[in-house]
Amino acid sequence: MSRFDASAWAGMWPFTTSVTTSLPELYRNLIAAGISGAAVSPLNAVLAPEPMGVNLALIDQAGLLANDDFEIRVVPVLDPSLPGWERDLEKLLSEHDALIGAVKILPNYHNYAVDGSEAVALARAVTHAGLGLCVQVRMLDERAHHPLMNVSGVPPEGIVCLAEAVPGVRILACAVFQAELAAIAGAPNISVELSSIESGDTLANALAAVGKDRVLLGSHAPIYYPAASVAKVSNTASDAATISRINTLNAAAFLN
Amino acid sequence: MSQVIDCHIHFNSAGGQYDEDEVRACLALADRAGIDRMVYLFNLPTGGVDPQEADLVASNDIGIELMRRHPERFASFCYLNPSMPLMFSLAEIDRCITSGPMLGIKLWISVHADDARIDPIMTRAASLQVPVLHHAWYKATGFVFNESTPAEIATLARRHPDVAIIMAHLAGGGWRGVRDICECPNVVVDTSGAQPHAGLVEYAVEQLGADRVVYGSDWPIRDFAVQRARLEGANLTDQEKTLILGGTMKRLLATKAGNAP
Repeated sequence: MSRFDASAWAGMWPFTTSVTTSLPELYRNLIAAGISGAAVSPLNAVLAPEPMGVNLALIDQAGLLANDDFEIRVVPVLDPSLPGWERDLEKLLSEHDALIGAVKILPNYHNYAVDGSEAVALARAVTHAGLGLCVQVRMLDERAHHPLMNVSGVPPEGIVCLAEAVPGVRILACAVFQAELAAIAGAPNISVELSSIESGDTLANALAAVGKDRVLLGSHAPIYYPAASVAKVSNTASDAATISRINTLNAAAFLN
Repeated sequence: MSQVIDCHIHFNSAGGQYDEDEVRACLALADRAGIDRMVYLFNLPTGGVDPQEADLVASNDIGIELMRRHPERFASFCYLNPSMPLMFSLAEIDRCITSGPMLGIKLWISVHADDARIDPIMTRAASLQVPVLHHAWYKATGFVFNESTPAEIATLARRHPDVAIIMAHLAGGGWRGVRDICECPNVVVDTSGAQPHAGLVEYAVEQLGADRVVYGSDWPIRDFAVQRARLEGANLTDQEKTLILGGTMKRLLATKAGNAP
Protein backbone atom coordinates (compact mmCIF):
# COMPACT_ATOMS: atom_id res chain seq x y z
CA MET A 1 0.00 0.00 0.00
CA SER A 2 1.28 3.43 -0.93
CA ARG A 3 1.37 6.10 1.79
CA PHE A 4 2.49 9.72 1.59
CA ASP A 5 3.19 11.64 4.79
CA ALA A 6 1.90 15.20 4.47
CA SER A 7 3.77 16.56 7.49
CA ALA A 8 7.21 15.34 8.50
CA TRP A 9 10.36 17.10 9.64
CA ALA A 10 14.12 16.71 9.54
CA GLY A 11 16.64 18.47 11.71
CA MET A 12 17.00 19.47 15.33
CA TRP A 13 14.30 19.41 17.99
CA PRO A 14 15.68 20.08 21.45
CA PHE A 15 12.75 18.78 23.50
CA THR A 16 13.41 15.08 23.05
CA THR A 17 16.23 12.63 23.66
CA SER A 18 17.07 12.08 19.99
CA VAL A 19 17.82 15.71 19.30
CA THR A 20 18.79 15.63 15.64
CA THR A 21 17.24 13.58 12.85
CA SER A 22 18.94 13.63 9.47
CA LEU A 23 17.00 13.19 6.27
CA PRO A 24 18.31 9.60 5.75
CA GLU A 25 17.26 8.78 9.31
CA LEU A 26 13.82 10.21 8.64
CA TYR A 27 13.53 8.13 5.46
CA ARG A 28 14.40 4.95 7.36
CA ASN A 29 11.97 5.86 10.11
CA LEU A 30 9.10 6.45 7.71
CA ILE A 31 9.84 3.47 5.47
CA ALA A 32 9.81 1.22 8.54
CA ALA A 33 6.30 2.49 9.23
CA GLY A 34 5.18 1.72 5.67
CA ILE A 35 5.42 5.28 4.31
CA SER A 36 6.97 5.76 0.88
CA GLY A 37 6.97 9.53 0.51
CA ALA A 38 6.78 12.68 2.58
CA ALA A 39 6.44 16.42 2.63
CA VAL A 40 9.35 17.44 4.84
CA SER A 41 10.07 20.73 6.59
CA PRO A 42 13.23 21.82 8.41
CA LEU A 43 12.80 21.48 12.16
CA ASN A 44 15.50 24.02 12.87
CA ALA A 45 13.33 26.68 11.26
CA VAL A 46 10.92 26.55 14.21
CA LEU A 47 13.37 28.23 16.58
CA ALA A 48 15.95 29.74 14.18
CA PRO A 49 16.14 33.55 13.86
CA GLU A 50 15.46 33.22 10.12
CA PRO A 51 14.41 30.12 8.20
CA MET A 52 16.11 30.36 4.80
CA GLY A 53 19.47 28.91 5.82
CA VAL A 54 17.90 25.68 7.00
CA ASN A 55 15.38 25.66 4.14
CA LEU A 56 18.16 25.69 1.60
CA ALA A 57 20.23 23.14 3.50
CA LEU A 58 17.25 20.76 3.50
CA ILE A 59 16.65 21.34 -0.20
CA ASP A 60 20.30 20.56 -0.93
CA GLN A 61 20.12 17.36 1.12
CA ALA A 62 16.88 16.30 -0.52
CA GLY A 63 18.36 16.82 -3.96
CA LEU A 64 21.40 14.74 -3.13
CA LEU A 65 19.28 11.93 -1.71
CA ALA A 66 16.69 11.84 -4.48
CA ASN A 67 15.89 8.25 -5.42
CA ASP A 68 13.05 6.10 -6.66
CA ASP A 69 12.40 4.43 -3.32
CA PHE A 70 11.20 7.48 -1.50
CA GLU A 71 9.34 10.51 -2.85
CA ILE A 72 10.21 13.74 -1.11
CA ARG A 73 8.69 17.18 -1.41
CA VAL A 74 10.30 19.92 0.61
CA VAL A 75 7.94 22.26 2.45
CA PRO A 76 10.09 25.26 3.37
CA VAL A 77 9.19 27.44 6.31
CA LEU A 78 8.66 31.15 5.74
CA ASP A 79 8.17 33.87 8.30
CA PRO A 80 6.11 36.76 6.92
CA SER A 81 6.99 38.94 9.89
CA LEU A 82 10.59 39.04 8.63
CA PRO A 83 11.53 41.77 6.15
CA GLY A 84 12.29 40.31 2.74
CA TRP A 85 10.19 37.14 2.97
CA GLU A 86 9.04 37.93 -0.57
CA ARG A 87 12.62 37.51 -1.81
CA ASP A 88 12.84 34.22 0.09
CA LEU A 89 9.76 32.92 -1.68
CA GLU A 90 11.00 34.12 -5.04
CA LYS A 91 14.34 32.39 -4.53
CA LEU A 92 12.66 29.13 -3.57
CA LEU A 93 10.38 29.22 -6.58
CA SER A 94 12.95 30.32 -9.12
CA GLU A 95 15.73 27.98 -8.07
CA HIS A 96 14.03 24.97 -6.52
CA ASP A 97 10.50 24.83 -7.85
CA ALA A 98 10.58 21.13 -8.69
CA LEU A 99 11.22 20.10 -5.09
CA ILE A 100 8.87 22.53 -3.35
CA GLY A 101 5.55 20.99 -2.36
CA ALA A 102 4.02 23.83 -0.35
CA VAL A 103 5.04 26.52 2.13
CA LYS A 104 4.71 26.17 5.88
CA ILE A 105 4.14 28.89 8.46
CA LEU A 106 4.32 28.77 12.26
CA PRO A 107 2.48 31.91 13.39
CA ASN A 108 2.68 31.25 17.11
CA TYR A 109 6.36 30.33 17.15
CA HIS A 110 7.21 33.29 14.94
CA ASN A 111 4.99 35.68 16.84
CA TYR A 112 2.41 36.97 14.39
CA ALA A 113 -1.32 36.45 14.00
CA VAL A 114 -2.45 33.75 11.57
CA ASP A 115 -5.16 36.08 10.31
CA GLY A 116 -3.05 39.27 10.43
CA SER A 117 -1.92 41.28 7.42
CA GLU A 118 1.50 39.62 7.26
CA ALA A 119 0.08 36.10 7.03
CA VAL A 120 -2.58 37.20 4.57
CA ALA A 121 0.07 38.75 2.31
CA LEU A 122 2.14 35.58 2.36
CA ALA A 123 -0.92 33.42 1.75
CA ARG A 124 -1.78 35.56 -1.29
CA ALA A 125 1.73 35.20 -2.69
CA VAL A 126 1.86 31.46 -2.09
CA THR A 127 -1.56 31.03 -3.68
CA HIS A 128 -0.52 33.17 -6.63
CA ALA A 129 2.43 30.83 -7.11
CA GLY A 130 0.05 27.86 -7.20
CA LEU A 131 1.23 26.40 -3.91
CA GLY A 132 -0.63 25.24 -0.84
CA LEU A 133 -0.04 26.75 2.59
CA CYS A 134 0.62 24.58 5.65
CA VAL A 135 -0.27 26.22 8.96
CA GLN A 136 1.50 24.51 11.83
CA VAL A 137 -1.05 24.72 14.63
CA ARG A 138 1.32 23.37 17.28
CA MET A 139 4.54 21.44 17.63
CA LEU A 140 3.49 19.54 20.76
CA ASP A 141 0.47 19.08 22.95
CA GLU A 142 0.72 22.26 25.01
CA ARG A 143 0.66 20.25 28.24
CA ALA A 144 3.98 18.68 27.26
CA HIS A 145 5.84 21.90 26.53
CA HIS A 146 8.99 22.93 28.31
CA PRO A 147 7.77 24.84 31.39
CA LEU A 148 9.69 27.93 30.31
CA MET A 149 8.51 27.78 26.72
CA ASN A 150 4.80 27.26 26.49
CA VAL A 151 3.59 28.28 23.04
CA SER A 152 -0.16 28.14 22.65
CA GLY A 153 -1.76 26.58 19.60
CA VAL A 154 -2.87 28.64 16.62
CA PRO A 155 -6.59 29.31 17.07
CA PRO A 156 -8.61 27.42 14.44
CA GLU A 157 -10.95 30.39 14.07
CA GLY A 158 -7.96 32.44 12.92
CA ILE A 159 -7.11 29.87 10.26
CA VAL A 160 -10.69 30.12 9.03
CA CYS A 161 -10.31 33.92 8.80
CA LEU A 162 -7.13 33.46 6.76
CA ALA A 163 -8.90 30.98 4.49
CA GLU A 164 -11.73 33.45 3.93
CA ALA A 165 -9.39 36.38 3.34
CA VAL A 166 -7.45 34.84 0.44
CA PRO A 167 -9.50 33.59 -2.52
CA GLY A 168 -8.24 30.29 -3.84
CA VAL A 169 -5.90 29.57 -0.95
CA ARG A 170 -5.40 25.89 -0.09
CA ILE A 171 -4.57 25.43 3.59
CA LEU A 172 -3.38 22.32 5.40
CA ALA A 173 -3.77 22.65 9.17
CA CYS A 174 -0.96 20.60 10.71
CA ALA A 175 -1.11 19.05 14.20
CA VAL A 176 -4.68 20.16 14.78
CA PHE A 177 -6.69 18.34 17.49
CA GLN A 178 -9.96 16.47 17.02
CA ALA A 179 -11.73 18.99 19.24
CA GLU A 180 -10.68 21.79 16.88
CA LEU A 181 -12.13 20.24 13.73
CA ALA A 182 -15.60 21.62 14.35
CA ALA A 183 -14.27 25.17 14.10
CA ILE A 184 -12.80 24.60 10.63
CA ALA A 185 -15.41 22.22 9.28
CA GLY A 186 -17.24 25.01 7.45
CA ALA A 187 -14.16 26.17 5.53
CA PRO A 188 -13.88 23.88 2.49
CA ASN A 189 -10.40 25.10 1.58
CA ILE A 190 -8.87 23.91 4.87
CA SER A 191 -7.64 20.33 5.03
CA VAL A 192 -6.12 18.62 8.04
CA GLU A 193 -3.44 16.02 8.60
CA LEU A 194 -3.87 13.26 11.13
CA SER A 195 -0.77 13.44 13.31
CA SER A 196 -2.43 15.00 16.37
CA ILE A 197 -6.03 14.02 15.72
CA GLU A 198 -7.22 11.21 17.95
CA SER A 199 -10.45 9.94 19.48
CA GLY A 200 -12.01 6.61 20.33
CA ASP A 201 -12.51 5.86 16.61
CA THR A 202 -10.07 8.35 15.13
CA LEU A 203 -10.59 8.23 11.40
CA ALA A 204 -14.36 7.78 11.52
CA ASN A 205 -14.72 10.81 13.76
CA ALA A 206 -12.31 12.93 11.71
CA LEU A 207 -14.13 12.06 8.51
CA ALA A 208 -17.46 12.83 10.12
CA ALA A 209 -16.12 16.27 11.06
CA VAL A 210 -14.52 17.43 7.81
CA GLY A 211 -15.19 14.84 5.11
CA LYS A 212 -13.03 12.40 3.17
CA ASP A 213 -11.56 14.96 0.77
CA ARG A 214 -9.98 17.02 3.53
CA VAL A 215 -8.10 14.47 5.65
CA LEU A 216 -4.45 13.62 4.88
CA LEU A 217 -2.06 11.14 6.43
CA GLY A 218 0.54 13.06 8.44
CA SER A 219 3.00 11.74 11.00
CA HIS A 220 4.76 14.72 12.61
CA ALA A 221 7.83 12.45 12.58
CA PRO A 222 10.42 12.42 14.02
CA ILE A 223 8.71 14.07 16.99
CA TYR A 224 5.97 11.42 17.00
CA TYR A 225 6.13 7.72 16.13
CA PRO A 226 4.95 7.54 12.49
CA ALA A 227 3.38 4.13 13.16
CA ALA A 228 0.75 5.89 15.27
CA SER A 229 -0.53 7.92 12.33
CA VAL A 230 -0.38 4.96 9.98
CA ALA A 231 -2.56 3.05 12.44
CA LYS A 232 -5.19 5.79 12.29
CA VAL A 233 -5.75 4.96 8.63
CA SER A 234 -4.97 1.25 8.51
CA ASN A 235 -7.11 0.33 11.52
CA THR A 236 -10.45 1.57 10.27
CA ALA A 237 -13.76 0.47 8.86
CA SER A 238 -13.41 2.93 5.96
CA ASP A 239 -13.57 1.63 2.39
CA ALA A 240 -10.49 1.24 0.21
CA ALA A 241 -11.26 4.31 -1.89
CA THR A 242 -11.44 6.53 1.19
CA ILE A 243 -8.24 5.04 2.58
CA SER A 244 -6.50 5.70 -0.71
CA ARG A 245 -7.62 9.33 -0.62
CA ILE A 246 -6.21 9.80 2.86
CA ASN A 247 -3.01 7.90 2.24
CA THR A 248 -2.03 9.55 -1.03
CA LEU A 249 -4.63 11.22 -3.25
CA ASN A 250 -5.56 14.12 -0.98
CA ALA A 251 -1.90 14.90 -0.44
CA ALA A 252 -1.28 14.83 -4.18
CA ALA A 253 -4.13 17.26 -4.74
CA PHE A 254 -2.87 19.60 -2.04
CA LEU A 255 0.76 19.55 -3.09
CA ASN A 256 0.07 19.99 -6.77
CA MET B 1 1.21 -13.18 20.04
CA SER B 2 0.22 -13.60 23.68
CA GLN B 3 -2.89 -12.02 25.09
CA VAL B 4 -3.02 -8.24 24.60
CA ILE B 5 -4.36 -6.45 27.67
CA ASP B 6 -5.30 -2.78 27.76
CA CYS B 7 -4.93 -1.66 31.37
CA HIS B 8 -6.66 1.70 30.99
CA ILE B 9 -10.09 2.28 29.50
CA HIS B 10 -13.19 4.20 30.47
CA PHE B 11 -16.77 4.38 29.39
CA ASN B 12 -18.61 7.51 28.50
CA SER B 13 -22.17 6.72 29.50
CA ALA B 14 -23.97 10.03 29.84
CA GLY B 15 -26.63 8.45 32.02
CA GLY B 16 -24.08 6.83 34.31
CA GLN B 17 -25.64 3.45 33.64
CA TYR B 18 -24.30 0.30 32.04
CA ASP B 19 -24.87 0.70 28.30
CA GLU B 20 -24.63 -2.52 26.29
CA ASP B 21 -24.55 -0.59 23.00
CA GLU B 22 -21.46 1.30 24.13
CA VAL B 23 -19.90 -1.95 25.31
CA ARG B 24 -20.53 -3.58 21.94
CA ALA B 25 -18.98 -0.60 20.15
CA CYS B 26 -15.98 -0.82 22.45
CA LEU B 27 -15.58 -4.53 21.80
CA ALA B 28 -15.79 -4.02 18.03
CA LEU B 29 -13.04 -1.40 18.13
CA ALA B 30 -10.93 -3.52 20.46
CA ASP B 31 -11.32 -6.53 18.19
CA ARG B 32 -10.22 -4.44 15.22
CA ALA B 33 -7.09 -3.39 17.10
CA GLY B 34 -6.34 -6.87 18.40
CA ILE B 35 -7.03 -6.12 22.05
CA ASP B 36 -8.07 -9.24 23.94
CA ARG B 37 -8.88 -7.87 27.38
CA MET B 38 -9.45 -4.44 28.89
CA VAL B 39 -9.40 -2.94 32.36
CA TYR B 40 -12.31 -0.57 32.98
CA LEU B 41 -11.45 2.19 35.45
CA PHE B 42 -14.44 4.53 35.69
CA ASN B 43 -17.23 6.17 33.73
CA LEU B 44 -15.97 9.53 32.50
CA PRO B 45 -19.09 11.69 32.97
CA THR B 46 -19.91 10.39 36.45
CA GLY B 47 -18.87 12.68 39.26
CA GLY B 48 -16.27 14.89 37.65
CA VAL B 49 -12.98 15.57 39.39
CA ASP B 50 -14.37 15.04 42.89
CA PRO B 51 -16.85 12.18 42.70
CA GLN B 52 -19.16 11.65 45.64
CA GLU B 53 -20.25 8.35 47.13
CA ALA B 54 -23.22 7.85 44.79
CA ASP B 55 -21.03 8.64 41.77
CA LEU B 56 -18.43 6.10 42.79
CA VAL B 57 -21.03 3.41 43.41
CA ALA B 58 -22.65 4.10 40.02
CA SER B 59 -19.32 3.99 38.22
CA ASN B 60 -18.32 0.80 40.01
CA ASP B 61 -21.68 -0.80 39.26
CA ILE B 62 -20.83 -0.47 35.57
CA GLY B 63 -17.54 -2.26 36.21
CA ILE B 64 -19.21 -5.10 38.07
CA GLU B 65 -21.79 -5.51 35.30
CA LEU B 66 -19.05 -5.50 32.66
CA MET B 67 -17.26 -8.36 34.40
CA ARG B 68 -20.51 -10.27 34.87
CA ARG B 69 -21.55 -10.00 31.22
CA HIS B 70 -18.14 -10.18 29.55
CA PRO B 71 -15.78 -11.90 31.98
CA GLU B 72 -13.31 -12.90 29.29
CA ARG B 73 -13.01 -9.38 27.88
CA PHE B 74 -13.13 -7.03 30.87
CA ALA B 75 -11.55 -6.66 34.26
CA SER B 76 -12.54 -3.70 36.42
CA PHE B 77 -10.89 -1.67 39.13
CA CYS B 78 -12.75 -0.17 42.08
CA TYR B 79 -12.89 3.62 41.65
CA LEU B 80 -12.41 5.56 44.89
CA ASN B 81 -12.09 9.12 46.14
CA PRO B 82 -9.92 9.16 49.28
CA SER B 83 -11.53 12.41 50.43
CA MET B 84 -14.77 10.50 51.03
CA PRO B 85 -15.22 8.96 54.50
CA LEU B 86 -12.85 6.06 55.02
CA MET B 87 -15.72 3.82 56.09
CA PHE B 88 -17.28 4.30 52.68
CA SER B 89 -14.06 3.56 50.79
CA LEU B 90 -13.40 0.38 52.76
CA ALA B 91 -17.00 -0.75 52.33
CA GLU B 92 -16.78 -0.12 48.58
CA ILE B 93 -13.57 -2.15 48.44
CA ASP B 94 -15.36 -4.96 50.27
CA ARG B 95 -18.33 -4.76 47.90
CA CYS B 96 -16.33 -4.56 44.69
CA ILE B 97 -13.18 -6.56 45.42
CA THR B 98 -13.43 -8.72 48.55
CA SER B 99 -16.96 -9.88 47.83
CA GLY B 100 -17.02 -8.80 44.19
CA PRO B 101 -15.10 -9.55 41.02
CA MET B 102 -12.90 -6.46 40.74
CA LEU B 103 -9.14 -6.89 40.56
CA GLY B 104 -7.66 -3.55 41.58
CA ILE B 105 -8.23 0.03 42.73
CA LYS B 106 -8.35 3.19 40.62
CA LEU B 107 -7.44 6.63 41.99
CA TRP B 108 -7.69 9.69 39.78
CA ILE B 109 -7.32 13.35 40.79
CA SER B 110 -9.55 13.79 43.83
CA VAL B 111 -6.51 13.97 46.15
CA HIS B 112 -2.77 14.09 45.59
CA ALA B 113 -0.96 10.76 45.61
CA ASP B 114 1.04 11.72 48.69
CA ASP B 115 -2.11 12.59 50.67
CA ALA B 116 -2.23 10.58 53.92
CA ARG B 117 -5.89 9.77 53.33
CA ILE B 118 -4.77 7.27 50.68
CA ASP B 119 -2.76 5.24 53.21
CA PRO B 120 -5.59 3.08 54.61
CA ILE B 121 -6.74 2.33 51.07
CA MET B 122 -3.22 1.25 50.17
CA THR B 123 -3.05 -0.89 53.30
CA ARG B 124 -6.24 -2.63 52.23
CA ALA B 125 -4.86 -3.05 48.70
CA ALA B 126 -1.80 -4.72 50.22
CA SER B 127 -3.87 -7.12 52.25
CA LEU B 128 -5.96 -8.02 49.19
CA GLN B 129 -2.85 -8.15 47.00
CA VAL B 130 -4.40 -6.02 44.28
CA PRO B 131 -2.74 -3.29 42.21
CA VAL B 132 -3.60 0.41 42.43
CA LEU B 133 -3.73 2.42 39.20
CA HIS B 134 -3.11 6.10 39.86
CA HIS B 135 -3.26 9.03 37.43
CA ALA B 136 -0.12 11.16 37.07
CA TRP B 137 1.02 13.93 34.74
CA TYR B 138 3.40 16.87 34.43
CA LYS B 139 1.51 19.70 32.77
CA ALA B 140 3.07 22.91 31.60
CA THR B 141 -0.42 24.34 31.32
CA GLY B 142 -1.27 23.84 35.00
CA PHE B 143 -2.74 20.98 36.96
CA VAL B 144 -6.39 20.03 37.14
CA PHE B 145 -7.83 19.94 40.69
CA ASN B 146 -5.62 17.68 42.86
CA GLU B 147 -3.78 16.10 39.98
CA SER B 148 -0.65 14.16 40.99
CA THR B 149 2.84 14.28 39.59
CA PRO B 150 4.98 11.20 39.06
CA ALA B 151 7.15 12.44 41.96
CA GLU B 152 4.12 12.16 44.23
CA ILE B 153 3.51 8.66 42.92
CA ALA B 154 7.08 7.82 43.94
CA THR B 155 6.37 9.13 47.45
CA LEU B 156 3.28 6.94 47.65
CA ALA B 157 5.23 3.96 46.37
CA ARG B 158 7.94 4.36 48.98
CA ARG B 159 5.32 4.49 51.73
CA HIS B 160 3.69 1.33 50.42
CA PRO B 161 6.41 -0.85 48.90
CA ASP B 162 4.19 -3.93 49.14
CA VAL B 163 1.53 -2.51 46.79
CA ALA B 164 1.88 -2.76 43.02
CA ILE B 165 1.19 0.70 41.60
CA ILE B 166 0.37 1.33 37.96
CA MET B 167 1.26 4.95 37.22
CA ALA B 168 -0.92 6.14 34.36
CA HIS B 169 0.17 8.11 31.30
CA LEU B 170 3.80 7.58 30.32
CA ALA B 171 3.63 10.47 27.85
CA GLY B 172 2.04 12.69 30.48
CA GLY B 173 4.86 12.14 32.94
CA GLY B 174 7.46 12.13 30.18
CA TRP B 175 11.14 11.55 30.66
CA ARG B 176 11.11 13.20 34.11
CA GLY B 177 8.28 10.96 35.21
CA VAL B 178 10.21 7.84 34.25
CA ARG B 179 13.16 9.02 36.33
CA ASP B 180 10.86 9.80 39.27
CA ILE B 181 9.73 6.19 39.62
CA CYS B 182 12.93 4.52 38.51
CA GLU B 183 13.99 3.57 42.04
CA CYS B 184 10.51 2.35 43.02
CA PRO B 185 10.35 -1.28 41.87
CA ASN B 186 6.70 -1.57 42.88
CA VAL B 187 5.69 1.01 40.24
CA VAL B 188 4.99 0.19 36.61
CA VAL B 189 3.96 2.85 34.09
CA ASP B 190 1.11 2.59 31.62
CA THR B 191 1.52 3.96 28.12
CA SER B 192 -1.97 5.42 27.82
CA GLY B 193 -2.90 8.84 26.61
CA ALA B 194 -1.30 11.96 25.16
CA GLN B 195 0.55 12.17 21.87
CA PRO B 196 2.97 9.45 20.71
CA HIS B 197 6.27 11.16 21.57
CA ALA B 198 8.97 9.22 19.76
CA GLY B 199 11.68 7.66 21.88
CA LEU B 200 9.79 7.76 25.15
CA VAL B 201 8.74 4.11 25.18
CA GLU B 202 12.31 3.03 24.47
CA TYR B 203 13.53 5.32 27.25
CA ALA B 204 11.06 3.85 29.73
CA VAL B 205 12.12 0.32 28.84
CA GLU B 206 15.78 1.24 29.09
CA GLN B 207 15.36 2.85 32.51
CA LEU B 208 12.69 0.62 34.07
CA GLY B 209 12.86 -2.63 32.13
CA ALA B 210 10.13 -3.94 29.84
CA ASP B 211 8.40 -5.66 32.75
CA ARG B 212 7.62 -2.25 34.27
CA VAL B 213 5.87 -0.79 31.23
CA VAL B 214 2.29 -1.82 30.43
CA TYR B 215 0.02 -1.02 27.49
CA GLY B 216 -2.95 1.23 28.09
CA SER B 217 -5.04 3.29 25.70
CA ASP B 218 -7.28 5.69 27.65
CA TRP B 219 -10.12 4.76 25.27
CA PRO B 220 -12.54 6.42 24.38
CA ILE B 221 -10.50 9.61 24.74
CA ARG B 222 -7.83 7.85 22.71
CA ASP B 223 -7.78 5.12 20.08
CA PHE B 224 -6.90 1.49 20.88
CA ALA B 225 -4.94 1.00 17.68
CA VAL B 226 -3.10 4.30 17.76
CA GLN B 227 -1.97 3.80 21.33
CA ARG B 228 -0.89 0.28 20.50
CA ALA B 229 0.98 1.46 17.42
CA ARG B 230 3.34 3.61 19.48
CA LEU B 231 4.53 0.35 21.05
CA GLU B 232 4.61 -1.58 17.80
CA GLY B 233 6.56 1.29 16.23
CA ALA B 234 9.07 1.55 19.03
CA ASN B 235 12.52 0.08 18.67
CA LEU B 236 12.01 -2.85 21.02
CA THR B 237 12.44 -6.61 20.83
CA ASP B 238 9.45 -8.88 20.30
CA GLN B 239 9.95 -10.20 23.83
CA GLU B 240 9.80 -6.68 25.26
CA LYS B 241 6.67 -5.88 23.27
CA THR B 242 5.00 -9.05 24.49
CA LEU B 243 5.65 -8.10 28.09
CA ILE B 244 4.34 -4.58 27.56
CA LEU B 245 1.27 -5.58 25.58
CA GLY B 246 0.02 -8.06 28.11
CA GLY B 247 2.56 -10.20 29.90
CA THR B 248 3.06 -7.99 32.93
CA MET B 249 -0.59 -6.97 33.15
CA LYS B 250 -1.71 -10.59 33.08
CA ARG B 251 0.41 -11.14 36.17
CA LEU B 252 -0.92 -8.04 37.91
CA LEU B 253 -4.52 -9.09 37.27
CA ALA B 254 -3.85 -12.46 38.88
CA THR B 255 -2.46 -11.29 42.19
CA LYS B 256 -5.76 -10.81 44.05
CA ALA B 257 -5.74 -12.93 47.20
CA GLY B 258 -7.62 -16.15 46.55
CA ASN B 259 -7.33 -15.88 42.76
CA ALA B 260 -5.57 -18.65 40.93
CA PRO B 261 -2.21 -17.37 39.55
